[in-house]
Amino acid sequence: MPRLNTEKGQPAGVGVGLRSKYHQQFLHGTPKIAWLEIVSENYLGLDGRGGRARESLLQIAEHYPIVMHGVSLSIGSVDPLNLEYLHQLRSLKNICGAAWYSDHLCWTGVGGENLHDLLPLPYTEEALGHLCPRVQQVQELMGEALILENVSSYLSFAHSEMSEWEFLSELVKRTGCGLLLDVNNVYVSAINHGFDPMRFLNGIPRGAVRQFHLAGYSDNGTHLVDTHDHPVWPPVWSLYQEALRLFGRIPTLIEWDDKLPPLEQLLEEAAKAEHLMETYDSPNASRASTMVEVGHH
Amino acid sequence: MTAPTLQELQQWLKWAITNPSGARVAVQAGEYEPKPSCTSWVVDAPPLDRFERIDIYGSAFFMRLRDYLHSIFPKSQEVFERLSLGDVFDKLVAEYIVSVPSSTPNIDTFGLAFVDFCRQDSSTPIENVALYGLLELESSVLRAHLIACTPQRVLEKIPLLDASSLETARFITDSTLSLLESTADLVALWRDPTHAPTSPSHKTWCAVWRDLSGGTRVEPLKENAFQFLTALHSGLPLHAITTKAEGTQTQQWFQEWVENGIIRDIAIIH
Repeated sequence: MPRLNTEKGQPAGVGVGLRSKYHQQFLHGTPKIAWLEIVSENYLGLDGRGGRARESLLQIAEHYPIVMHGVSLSIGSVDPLNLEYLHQLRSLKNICGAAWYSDHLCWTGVGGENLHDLLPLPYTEEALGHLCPRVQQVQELMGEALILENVSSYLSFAHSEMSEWEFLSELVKRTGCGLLLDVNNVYVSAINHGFDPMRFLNGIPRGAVRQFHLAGYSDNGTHLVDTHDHPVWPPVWSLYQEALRLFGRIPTLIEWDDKLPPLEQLLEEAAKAEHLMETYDSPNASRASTMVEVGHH
Repeated sequence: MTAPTLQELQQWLKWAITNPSGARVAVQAGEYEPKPSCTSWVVDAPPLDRFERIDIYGSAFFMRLRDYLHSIFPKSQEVFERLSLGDVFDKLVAEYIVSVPSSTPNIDTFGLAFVDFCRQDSSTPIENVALYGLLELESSVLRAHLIACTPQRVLEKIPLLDASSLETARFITDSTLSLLESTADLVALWRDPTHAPTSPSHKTWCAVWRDLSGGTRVEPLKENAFQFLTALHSGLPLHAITTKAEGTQTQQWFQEWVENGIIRDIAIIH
Protein backbone atom coordinates (compact mmCIF):
# COMPACT_ATOMS: atom_id res chain seq x y z
CA MET A 1 0.00 0.00 0.00
CA PRO A 2 1.30 3.53 -0.70
CA ARG A 3 2.41 5.66 2.19
CA LEU A 4 2.03 9.33 2.87
CA ASN A 5 5.14 11.43 2.52
CA THR A 6 6.33 12.12 6.04
CA GLU A 7 9.79 13.49 5.32
CA LYS A 8 9.29 17.22 5.63
CA GLY A 9 6.97 19.72 7.21
CA GLN A 10 4.23 17.41 8.33
CA PRO A 11 1.24 19.62 9.04
CA ALA A 12 -0.55 19.29 12.35
CA GLY A 13 -3.30 21.30 13.93
CA VAL A 14 -5.19 23.85 11.87
CA GLY A 15 -4.11 25.55 8.66
CA VAL A 16 -5.60 28.03 6.23
CA GLY A 17 -5.70 28.29 2.46
CA LEU A 18 -2.94 30.45 1.01
CA ARG A 19 -4.63 32.78 -1.45
CA SER A 20 -2.92 35.49 -3.50
CA LYS A 21 -4.61 38.20 -1.43
CA TYR A 22 -2.56 37.05 1.57
CA HIS A 23 0.79 36.57 -0.16
CA GLN A 24 2.22 39.91 0.89
CA GLN A 25 1.34 39.33 4.54
CA PHE A 26 3.07 35.97 4.49
CA LEU A 27 6.03 37.36 2.56
CA HIS A 28 6.59 40.26 4.92
CA GLY A 29 5.63 38.65 8.19
CA THR A 30 4.95 35.33 9.79
CA PRO A 31 1.24 35.22 10.62
CA LYS A 32 0.58 32.67 13.33
CA ILE A 33 -0.77 29.59 11.63
CA ALA A 34 0.44 26.00 11.72
CA TRP A 35 0.44 25.26 8.01
CA LEU A 36 -0.88 26.36 4.63
CA GLU A 37 -2.75 24.67 1.82
CA ILE A 38 -2.37 25.82 -1.76
CA VAL A 39 -4.62 25.24 -4.75
CA SER A 40 -2.03 23.45 -6.87
CA GLU A 41 -3.18 24.81 -10.23
CA ASN A 42 -2.66 28.40 -9.11
CA TYR A 43 1.07 27.72 -8.94
CA LEU A 44 1.57 25.94 -12.25
CA GLY A 45 1.64 29.07 -14.38
CA LEU A 46 1.38 28.99 -18.13
CA ASP A 47 3.75 26.13 -18.79
CA GLY A 48 3.86 24.24 -15.51
CA ARG A 49 6.93 26.14 -14.35
CA GLY A 50 4.97 28.74 -12.45
CA GLY A 51 5.05 32.51 -12.47
CA ARG A 52 4.72 35.23 -9.89
CA ALA A 53 2.57 33.12 -7.59
CA ARG A 54 5.13 30.33 -7.46
CA GLU A 55 7.93 32.77 -6.72
CA SER A 56 5.97 33.97 -3.69
CA LEU A 57 5.10 30.43 -2.65
CA LEU A 58 8.71 29.31 -2.59
CA GLN A 59 9.57 32.10 -0.17
CA ILE A 60 6.56 31.41 2.02
CA ALA A 61 7.25 27.66 2.01
CA GLU A 62 10.53 28.33 3.81
CA HIS A 63 8.53 29.21 6.91
CA TYR A 64 5.40 27.05 6.77
CA PRO A 65 4.53 23.43 6.04
CA ILE A 66 2.62 23.29 2.77
CA VAL A 67 0.07 20.85 1.43
CA MET A 68 -1.24 20.81 -2.13
CA HIS A 69 -4.88 20.59 -3.07
CA GLY A 70 -5.84 20.24 -6.71
CA VAL A 71 -9.05 20.83 -8.62
CA SER A 72 -8.28 19.41 -12.06
CA LEU A 73 -7.13 15.84 -11.61
CA SER A 74 -10.52 14.68 -12.90
CA ILE A 75 -9.93 11.23 -11.51
CA GLY A 76 -13.46 10.13 -12.40
CA SER A 77 -13.45 11.32 -16.01
CA VAL A 78 -13.57 8.81 -18.85
CA ASP A 79 -10.85 10.87 -20.54
CA PRO A 80 -7.30 9.59 -20.12
CA LEU A 81 -5.40 11.03 -17.16
CA ASN A 82 -3.47 14.16 -18.06
CA LEU A 83 0.07 12.90 -17.50
CA GLU A 84 1.69 16.23 -18.32
CA TYR A 85 -0.37 17.85 -15.59
CA LEU A 86 0.62 15.11 -13.15
CA HIS A 87 4.30 15.63 -13.94
CA GLN A 88 3.81 19.33 -13.32
CA LEU A 89 2.17 18.54 -9.98
CA ARG A 90 5.01 16.26 -8.98
CA SER A 91 7.53 18.91 -9.89
CA LEU A 92 5.66 21.57 -7.90
CA LYS A 93 5.41 19.22 -4.95
CA ASN A 94 9.15 18.58 -4.98
CA ILE A 95 9.99 22.25 -5.37
CA CYS A 96 7.78 23.54 -2.57
CA GLY A 97 8.31 20.52 -0.32
CA ALA A 98 4.60 19.89 0.12
CA ALA A 99 3.81 17.25 2.71
CA TRP A 100 1.05 15.72 0.58
CA TYR A 101 -1.31 16.46 -2.23
CA SER A 102 -5.00 15.90 -2.61
CA ASP A 103 -7.78 16.34 -5.14
CA HIS A 104 -11.47 15.54 -5.41
CA LEU A 105 -13.45 12.40 -6.05
CA CYS A 106 -15.23 13.73 -9.10
CA TRP A 107 -14.78 14.48 -12.76
CA THR A 108 -14.11 17.97 -14.09
CA GLY A 109 -14.46 17.48 -17.83
CA VAL A 110 -14.72 15.09 -20.74
CA GLY A 111 -13.83 15.11 -24.42
CA GLY A 112 -10.71 17.16 -23.73
CA GLU A 113 -12.65 20.03 -22.15
CA ASN A 114 -12.29 21.22 -18.59
CA LEU A 115 -15.54 22.55 -17.15
CA HIS A 116 -13.71 23.76 -14.02
CA ASP A 117 -16.33 22.27 -11.75
CA LEU A 118 -16.36 19.28 -9.41
CA LEU A 119 -18.96 17.06 -11.01
CA PRO A 120 -20.51 14.09 -9.22
CA LEU A 121 -20.11 10.45 -10.13
CA PRO A 122 -22.70 7.70 -9.94
CA TYR A 123 -21.83 5.36 -7.08
CA THR A 124 -21.69 2.18 -9.10
CA GLU A 125 -19.40 -0.81 -9.54
CA GLU A 126 -18.70 0.46 -13.04
CA ALA A 127 -17.43 3.77 -11.60
CA LEU A 128 -15.32 1.94 -9.02
CA GLY A 129 -13.87 -0.28 -11.72
CA HIS A 130 -12.99 2.82 -13.70
CA LEU A 131 -11.54 4.72 -10.74
CA CYS A 132 -9.37 2.11 -9.07
CA PRO A 133 -6.73 1.67 -11.82
CA ARG A 134 -6.63 5.42 -12.31
CA VAL A 135 -6.03 6.05 -8.60
CA GLN A 136 -3.31 3.44 -8.67
CA GLN A 137 -1.74 5.02 -11.75
CA VAL A 138 -1.64 8.41 -10.01
CA GLN A 139 -0.20 6.88 -6.85
CA GLU A 140 2.54 5.15 -8.82
CA LEU A 141 3.40 8.31 -10.67
CA MET A 142 3.41 10.49 -7.56
CA GLY A 143 5.05 7.84 -5.39
CA GLU A 144 2.58 8.23 -2.55
CA ALA A 145 -1.05 7.80 -1.61
CA LEU A 146 -3.55 9.98 -3.40
CA ILE A 147 -5.84 11.78 -0.99
CA LEU A 148 -9.35 12.30 -2.31
CA GLU A 149 -11.98 14.69 -1.03
CA ASN A 150 -15.72 14.09 -0.93
CA VAL A 151 -17.35 16.84 -2.99
CA SER A 152 -20.49 18.76 -2.24
CA SER A 153 -23.16 17.83 -4.73
CA TYR A 154 -26.48 19.06 -6.01
CA LEU A 155 -27.59 16.06 -8.00
CA SER A 156 -27.32 12.32 -7.64
CA PHE A 157 -28.04 9.43 -9.96
CA ALA A 158 -30.86 6.93 -9.79
CA HIS A 159 -28.62 4.05 -10.84
CA SER A 160 -26.18 4.50 -7.93
CA GLU A 161 -25.76 1.13 -6.25
CA MET A 162 -24.36 2.35 -2.95
CA SER A 163 -24.16 5.46 -0.77
CA GLU A 164 -21.38 7.99 -1.17
CA TRP A 165 -19.71 6.84 2.05
CA GLU A 166 -19.87 3.19 0.98
CA PHE A 167 -18.36 4.18 -2.34
CA LEU A 168 -15.53 6.10 -0.64
CA SER A 169 -14.87 3.22 1.75
CA GLU A 170 -14.70 0.74 -1.10
CA LEU A 171 -12.29 2.95 -3.01
CA VAL A 172 -10.03 3.21 0.04
CA LYS A 173 -10.17 -0.55 0.53
CA ARG A 174 -9.28 -1.30 -3.09
CA THR A 175 -6.58 1.33 -3.68
CA GLY A 176 -5.17 2.39 -0.32
CA CYS A 177 -5.88 6.01 -1.10
CA GLY A 178 -6.43 8.47 1.73
CA LEU A 179 -9.45 10.68 2.31
CA LEU A 180 -9.80 14.38 2.78
CA LEU A 181 -13.04 14.62 4.68
CA ASP A 182 -14.69 17.92 3.88
CA VAL A 183 -17.08 18.34 6.76
CA ASN A 184 -18.85 21.25 5.11
CA ASN A 185 -19.38 19.19 1.97
CA VAL A 186 -20.88 16.37 4.00
CA TYR A 187 -23.32 18.82 5.52
CA VAL A 188 -24.17 20.57 2.22
CA SER A 189 -24.77 17.26 0.44
CA ALA A 190 -26.77 15.93 3.38
CA ILE A 191 -29.16 18.88 3.18
CA ASN A 192 -29.34 18.79 -0.62
CA HIS A 193 -29.99 15.05 -0.82
CA GLY A 194 -31.75 14.51 2.47
CA PHE A 195 -29.45 12.08 4.27
CA ASP A 196 -28.20 12.13 7.84
CA PRO A 197 -24.65 13.53 7.91
CA MET A 198 -23.81 11.30 10.86
CA ARG A 199 -24.49 8.25 8.71
CA PHE A 200 -21.85 9.59 6.34
CA LEU A 201 -19.28 10.11 9.11
CA ASN A 202 -20.00 6.77 10.69
CA GLY A 203 -19.57 5.07 7.34
CA ILE A 204 -16.05 6.34 6.70
CA PRO A 205 -13.15 4.01 7.62
CA ARG A 206 -11.31 5.41 10.64
CA GLY A 207 -7.72 5.14 9.46
CA ALA A 208 -8.30 6.60 6.02
CA VAL A 209 -8.91 10.24 6.91
CA ARG A 210 -5.77 12.35 6.46
CA GLN A 211 -7.23 15.83 6.51
CA PHE A 212 -10.41 17.75 7.28
CA HIS A 213 -11.79 20.74 5.43
CA LEU A 214 -14.09 23.31 6.96
CA ALA A 215 -15.77 26.08 5.00
CA GLY A 216 -18.82 28.28 4.80
CA TYR A 217 -21.74 27.58 2.50
CA SER A 218 -24.46 29.83 1.09
CA ASP A 219 -28.06 29.09 1.89
CA ASN A 220 -30.18 29.48 -1.24
CA GLY A 221 -33.39 28.67 0.56
CA THR A 222 -34.16 25.43 -1.24
CA HIS A 223 -30.61 24.13 -1.07
CA LEU A 224 -27.10 24.90 0.16
CA VAL A 225 -24.22 25.86 -2.11
CA ASP A 226 -20.60 25.21 -1.23
CA THR A 227 -19.40 28.75 -1.89
CA HIS A 228 -16.45 29.04 0.53
CA ASP A 229 -17.38 32.67 1.06
CA HIS A 230 -18.67 32.67 4.64
CA PRO A 231 -17.44 31.73 8.08
CA VAL A 232 -18.08 28.14 9.06
CA TRP A 233 -21.74 27.81 10.06
CA PRO A 234 -22.78 26.38 13.46
CA PRO A 235 -24.12 23.05 12.13
CA VAL A 236 -20.78 22.44 10.42
CA TRP A 237 -18.88 23.25 13.60
CA SER A 238 -21.04 20.69 15.35
CA LEU A 239 -20.41 18.10 12.69
CA TYR A 240 -16.69 18.88 12.93
CA GLN A 241 -16.82 18.04 16.63
CA GLU A 242 -18.37 14.72 15.73
CA ALA A 243 -15.64 14.17 13.16
CA LEU A 244 -12.96 14.92 15.76
CA ARG A 245 -14.61 12.46 18.11
CA LEU A 246 -14.66 9.77 15.46
CA PHE A 247 -11.36 10.32 13.67
CA GLY A 248 -9.18 12.19 16.17
CA ARG A 249 -7.01 15.27 15.75
CA ILE A 250 -6.71 15.21 12.00
CA PRO A 251 -5.03 18.26 10.36
CA THR A 252 -7.82 20.67 9.59
CA LEU A 253 -8.02 23.43 7.02
CA ILE A 254 -10.25 26.48 6.94
CA GLU A 255 -11.11 26.88 3.27
CA TRP A 256 -12.13 30.36 2.16
CA ASP A 257 -11.99 31.20 -1.55
CA ASP A 258 -14.44 33.97 -2.32
CA LYS A 259 -15.24 37.31 -0.65
CA LEU A 260 -11.99 36.77 1.20
CA PRO A 261 -11.92 38.33 4.66
CA PRO A 262 -8.92 40.08 6.21
CA LEU A 263 -6.32 37.50 7.16
CA GLU A 264 -6.96 38.24 10.82
CA GLN A 265 -10.56 37.04 10.49
CA LEU A 266 -9.44 33.89 8.73
CA LEU A 267 -6.94 33.21 11.50
CA GLU A 268 -9.70 33.71 14.10
CA GLU A 269 -11.70 31.05 12.30
CA ALA A 270 -8.69 28.76 12.43
CA ALA A 271 -8.31 29.48 16.16
CA LYS A 272 -11.90 28.32 16.72
CA ALA A 273 -11.10 25.03 15.02
CA GLU A 274 -7.88 24.73 17.02
CA HIS A 275 -9.83 25.23 20.23
CA LEU A 276 -12.27 22.48 19.31
CA MET A 277 -9.46 20.20 18.25
CA GLU A 278 -7.75 20.61 21.62
CA THR A 279 -10.90 19.31 23.24
CA TYR A 280 -10.44 15.96 21.60
CA ASP A 281 -7.29 14.14 22.57
CA SER A 282 -8.15 10.89 20.95
CA PRO A 283 -10.82 9.25 18.88
CA ASN A 284 -14.00 8.50 20.76
CA ALA A 285 -13.19 11.05 23.48
CA SER A 286 -16.18 12.46 25.28
CA ARG A 287 -18.08 15.25 23.65
CA ALA A 288 -17.23 18.84 24.48
CA SER A 289 -19.70 20.70 26.60
CA THR A 290 -20.09 23.23 23.80
CA MET A 291 -21.60 20.58 21.54
CA VAL A 292 -24.64 21.84 19.71
CA GLU A 293 -27.19 19.91 17.76
CA VAL A 294 -26.29 18.88 14.23
CA GLY A 295 -29.04 20.20 12.03
CA HIS A 296 -29.94 22.76 9.46
CA HIS A 297 -30.16 26.16 11.12
CA MET B 1 -34.37 0.76 -19.18
CA THR B 2 -30.61 0.30 -19.14
CA ALA B 3 -28.57 2.70 -17.03
CA PRO B 4 -26.18 4.91 -18.98
CA THR B 5 -22.50 4.10 -18.99
CA LEU B 6 -20.13 6.47 -17.27
CA GLN B 7 -19.07 7.77 -20.66
CA GLU B 8 -22.65 8.37 -21.81
CA LEU B 9 -23.49 10.08 -18.55
CA GLN B 10 -20.51 12.42 -18.66
CA GLN B 11 -21.00 13.39 -22.29
CA TRP B 12 -24.68 14.05 -21.68
CA LEU B 13 -24.07 16.12 -18.55
CA LYS B 14 -21.39 18.17 -20.30
CA TRP B 15 -23.86 18.90 -23.09
CA ALA B 16 -26.45 20.03 -20.55
CA ILE B 17 -24.15 22.11 -18.37
CA THR B 18 -22.41 23.95 -21.22
CA ASN B 19 -25.52 24.51 -23.29
CA PRO B 20 -25.80 28.18 -24.32
CA SER B 21 -29.56 28.05 -23.80
CA GLY B 22 -29.04 27.18 -20.15
CA ALA B 23 -29.03 23.68 -18.72
CA ARG B 24 -32.63 23.64 -17.61
CA VAL B 25 -34.00 24.89 -20.94
CA ALA B 26 -31.75 22.52 -22.89
CA VAL B 27 -32.69 19.44 -20.90
CA GLN B 28 -36.39 20.21 -20.89
CA ALA B 29 -36.39 20.84 -24.65
CA GLY B 30 -34.12 17.88 -25.36
CA GLU B 31 -33.11 19.36 -28.71
CA TYR B 32 -29.79 18.02 -30.06
CA GLU B 33 -29.54 15.95 -26.88
CA PRO B 34 -26.85 13.25 -26.97
CA LYS B 35 -28.34 9.80 -26.84
CA PRO B 36 -29.14 8.06 -24.65
CA SER B 37 -30.84 10.83 -22.72
CA CYS B 38 -29.82 10.71 -19.07
CA THR B 39 -32.47 13.08 -17.78
CA SER B 40 -34.48 10.38 -16.06
CA TRP B 41 -31.35 9.06 -14.32
CA VAL B 42 -30.95 12.29 -12.38
CA VAL B 43 -32.74 11.88 -9.08
CA ASP B 44 -35.89 13.96 -8.83
CA ALA B 45 -36.44 14.40 -5.12
CA PRO B 46 -37.14 17.22 -2.69
CA PRO B 47 -35.94 19.82 -2.05
CA LEU B 48 -35.25 20.21 -5.81
CA ASP B 49 -36.56 18.69 -9.00
CA ARG B 50 -34.09 17.17 -11.43
CA PHE B 51 -34.14 20.18 -13.75
CA GLU B 52 -33.27 22.53 -10.90
CA ARG B 53 -30.47 20.22 -9.86
CA ILE B 54 -28.92 20.13 -13.34
CA ASP B 55 -29.38 23.87 -13.68
CA ILE B 56 -27.29 24.55 -10.57
CA TYR B 57 -24.29 23.11 -12.40
CA GLY B 58 -25.12 24.90 -15.64
CA SER B 59 -25.45 28.29 -13.96
CA ALA B 60 -22.28 27.73 -11.94
CA PHE B 61 -20.35 26.84 -15.10
CA PHE B 62 -21.17 30.10 -16.86
CA MET B 63 -20.86 32.27 -13.76
CA ARG B 64 -17.49 30.85 -12.82
CA LEU B 65 -15.95 31.48 -16.23
CA ARG B 66 -17.65 34.86 -16.60
CA ASP B 67 -16.42 36.01 -13.19
CA TYR B 68 -12.97 34.74 -14.02
CA LEU B 69 -12.84 36.73 -17.28
CA HIS B 70 -14.09 39.82 -15.48
CA SER B 71 -11.34 39.37 -12.92
CA ILE B 72 -8.55 39.39 -15.50
CA PHE B 73 -9.97 42.21 -17.62
CA PRO B 74 -11.20 44.58 -14.89
CA LYS B 75 -10.03 47.77 -16.56
CA SER B 76 -11.37 46.80 -19.95
CA GLN B 77 -14.71 45.99 -18.38
CA GLU B 78 -14.71 49.35 -16.60
CA VAL B 79 -14.03 51.24 -19.82
CA PHE B 80 -16.63 49.25 -21.78
CA GLU B 81 -19.19 50.06 -19.12
CA ARG B 82 -18.22 53.73 -18.99
CA LEU B 83 -18.76 53.93 -22.73
CA SER B 84 -22.17 52.27 -22.31
CA LEU B 85 -20.77 49.16 -23.97
CA GLY B 86 -21.20 46.86 -20.99
CA ASP B 87 -23.60 44.69 -22.99
CA VAL B 88 -20.97 44.33 -25.74
CA PHE B 89 -18.41 43.15 -23.19
CA ASP B 90 -20.94 40.69 -21.74
CA LYS B 91 -21.71 39.34 -25.22
CA LEU B 92 -18.02 38.87 -25.99
CA VAL B 93 -17.52 37.01 -22.72
CA ALA B 94 -20.55 34.78 -23.28
CA GLU B 95 -19.52 34.02 -26.87
CA TYR B 96 -15.99 33.19 -25.75
CA ILE B 97 -17.12 30.78 -23.04
CA VAL B 98 -19.27 28.90 -25.54
CA SER B 99 -16.88 29.04 -28.49
CA VAL B 100 -13.50 28.44 -26.86
CA PRO B 101 -13.89 25.64 -24.32
CA SER B 102 -11.19 25.43 -21.71
CA SER B 103 -8.87 22.50 -22.08
CA THR B 104 -6.34 23.50 -19.46
CA PRO B 105 -6.14 22.30 -15.85
CA ASN B 106 -5.33 25.85 -14.83
CA ILE B 107 -8.29 28.22 -15.12
CA ASP B 108 -5.84 31.12 -14.95
CA THR B 109 -4.80 30.44 -18.53
CA PHE B 110 -8.34 30.27 -19.89
CA GLY B 111 -8.53 33.97 -20.73
CA LEU B 112 -5.32 34.22 -22.72
CA ALA B 113 -7.02 33.64 -26.08
CA PHE B 114 -9.81 36.13 -25.37
CA VAL B 115 -8.26 39.06 -27.25
CA ASP B 116 -7.60 37.02 -30.39
CA PHE B 117 -11.14 35.72 -30.20
CA CYS B 118 -12.51 39.27 -29.94
CA ARG B 119 -10.41 40.40 -32.91
CA GLN B 120 -10.90 37.45 -35.22
CA ASP B 121 -13.76 35.19 -34.34
CA SER B 122 -16.38 37.09 -32.45
CA SER B 123 -19.60 38.11 -34.13
CA THR B 124 -19.70 41.15 -31.85
CA PRO B 125 -17.53 43.91 -33.33
CA ILE B 126 -15.82 46.53 -31.19
CA GLU B 127 -15.83 49.83 -33.00
CA ASN B 128 -13.39 51.61 -30.70
CA VAL B 129 -10.04 50.01 -31.50
CA ALA B 130 -8.56 51.42 -28.29
CA LEU B 131 -10.56 48.77 -26.47
CA TYR B 132 -8.78 45.97 -28.33
CA GLY B 133 -5.52 47.53 -27.20
CA LEU B 134 -6.60 47.66 -23.58
CA LEU B 135 -7.75 44.03 -23.71
CA GLU B 136 -4.40 43.09 -25.18
CA LEU B 137 -2.57 45.02 -22.47
CA GLU B 138 -4.52 43.27 -19.70
CA SER B 139 -3.88 39.95 -21.40
CA SER B 140 -0.14 40.76 -21.42
CA VAL B 141 -0.30 41.58 -17.71
CA LEU B 142 -1.90 38.19 -17.06
CA ARG B 143 0.68 36.44 -19.21
CA ALA B 144 3.53 38.17 -17.37
CA HIS B 145 2.03 36.99 -14.10
CA LEU B 146 1.88 33.38 -15.29
CA ILE B 147 5.41 33.07 -16.63
CA ALA B 148 8.64 32.52 -14.74
CA CYS B 149 11.08 35.39 -15.19
CA THR B 150 14.37 34.77 -16.97
CA PRO B 151 17.17 34.54 -14.38
CA GLN B 152 19.26 37.69 -14.23
CA ARG B 153 22.81 36.95 -15.41
CA VAL B 154 23.51 40.03 -17.46
CA LEU B 155 25.50 41.85 -14.77
CA GLU B 156 27.94 39.02 -14.30
CA LYS B 157 28.45 38.66 -18.05
CA ILE B 158 28.91 42.31 -19.04
CA PRO B 159 32.52 42.40 -17.78
CA LEU B 160 33.27 39.47 -20.12
CA LEU B 161 32.35 41.50 -23.18
CA ASP B 162 34.93 43.27 -25.29
CA ALA B 163 34.03 45.62 -28.13
CA SER B 164 33.96 42.93 -30.81
CA SER B 165 31.95 40.41 -28.80
CA LEU B 166 29.52 43.18 -27.86
CA GLU B 167 28.62 43.62 -31.52
CA THR B 168 27.77 39.96 -32.04
CA ALA B 169 26.19 39.31 -28.63
CA ARG B 170 22.50 38.66 -28.34
CA PHE B 171 20.78 40.38 -25.45
CA ILE B 172 18.16 38.19 -23.88
CA THR B 173 15.06 39.95 -22.71
CA ASP B 174 12.85 38.76 -19.90
CA SER B 175 10.49 35.94 -20.82
CA THR B 176 7.54 37.96 -19.48
CA LEU B 177 8.14 40.92 -21.83
CA SER B 178 5.36 41.99 -24.21
CA LEU B 179 5.75 44.98 -26.51
CA LEU B 180 2.54 46.67 -27.58
CA GLU B 181 1.81 49.26 -30.22
CA SER B 182 -1.50 51.08 -30.32
CA THR B 183 -3.34 54.01 -31.75
CA ALA B 184 -4.60 54.78 -28.22
CA ASP B 185 -2.75 55.95 -25.14
CA LEU B 186 -2.89 52.52 -23.54
CA VAL B 187 -0.69 53.23 -20.57
CA ALA B 188 -2.76 56.22 -19.53
CA LEU B 189 -5.94 54.20 -19.97
CA TRP B 190 -4.54 51.27 -18.00
CA ARG B 191 -3.39 53.49 -15.15
CA ASP B 192 -6.64 55.41 -15.09
CA PRO B 193 -9.62 53.73 -16.79
CA THR B 194 -11.56 57.00 -16.50
CA HIS B 195 -9.11 58.44 -19.05
CA ALA B 196 -10.82 59.03 -22.41
CA PRO B 197 -9.93 56.18 -24.81
CA THR B 198 -9.46 58.54 -27.70
CA SER B 199 -6.76 58.16 -30.29
CA PRO B 200 -3.88 60.58 -29.95
CA SER B 201 -2.39 62.18 -33.02
CA HIS B 202 0.29 59.51 -33.20
CA LYS B 203 0.78 55.89 -32.20
CA THR B 204 1.86 54.93 -28.70
CA TRP B 205 4.14 52.13 -27.57
CA CYS B 206 4.59 50.34 -24.29
CA ALA B 207 6.27 47.43 -22.57
CA VAL B 208 4.73 44.97 -20.10
CA TRP B 209 7.03 42.79 -18.01
CA ARG B 210 7.89 41.73 -14.50
CA ASP B 211 10.78 43.68 -13.00
CA LEU B 212 13.49 42.46 -10.66
CA SER B 213 11.17 42.73 -7.65
CA GLY B 214 8.75 40.37 -9.40
CA GLY B 215 6.11 43.08 -9.80
CA THR B 216 4.40 43.66 -13.13
CA ARG B 217 5.32 46.92 -14.88
CA VAL B 218 3.50 48.73 -17.67
CA GLU B 219 5.63 51.54 -19.05
CA PRO B 220 5.42 53.78 -22.12
CA LEU B 221 8.24 53.74 -24.65
CA LYS B 222 9.32 56.23 -27.30
CA GLU B 223 9.04 54.96 -30.86
CA ASN B 224 12.78 54.51 -31.45
CA ALA B 225 13.23 52.76 -28.08
CA PHE B 226 10.32 50.47 -28.90
CA GLN B 227 11.82 49.56 -32.29
CA PHE B 228 15.25 48.97 -30.79
CA LEU B 229 13.84 46.83 -27.99
CA THR B 230 11.64 44.91 -30.43
CA ALA B 231 14.75 44.04 -32.43
CA LEU B 232 16.62 42.93 -29.30
CA HIS B 233 13.58 40.94 -28.15
CA SER B 234 13.50 39.11 -31.49
CA GLY B 235 17.06 37.93 -30.88
CA LEU B 236 18.94 40.15 -33.32
CA PRO B 237 22.57 40.87 -32.37
CA LEU B 238 23.57 44.50 -31.98
CA HIS B 239 25.36 44.74 -35.31
CA ALA B 240 22.18 43.73 -37.13
CA ILE B 241 20.05 46.43 -35.54
CA THR B 242 19.78 49.77 -37.24
CA THR B 243 18.60 52.72 -35.23
CA LYS B 244 18.47 56.43 -35.69
CA ALA B 245 19.29 56.85 -32.02
CA GLU B 246 22.68 58.12 -30.97
CA GLY B 247 25.14 55.90 -29.15
CA THR B 248 24.66 57.70 -25.86
CA GLN B 249 20.91 57.16 -26.17
CA THR B 250 21.23 53.41 -26.73
CA GLN B 251 23.67 53.17 -23.82
CA GLN B 252 21.12 54.91 -21.64
CA TRP B 253 18.43 52.47 -22.74
CA PHE B 254 20.69 49.50 -22.01
CA GLN B 255 21.43 50.75 -18.54
CA GLU B 256 17.76 51.36 -17.85
CA TRP B 257 16.65 47.98 -19.24
CA VAL B 258 19.28 46.09 -17.30
CA GLU B 259 18.35 47.90 -14.09
CA ASN B 260 14.62 47.35 -14.50
CA GLY B 261 14.93 43.70 -15.53
CA ILE B 262 13.89 43.95 -19.18
CA ILE B 263 17.34 42.70 -20.26
CA ARG B 264 18.22 39.60 -18.24
CA ASP B 265 21.08 37.84 -19.98
CA ILE B 266 23.61 37.94 -22.79
CA ALA B 267 24.43 35.13 -25.18
CA ILE B 268 28.01 35.75 -26.21
CA ILE B 269 28.71 34.41 -29.71
CA HIS B 270 32.36 33.50 -30.29
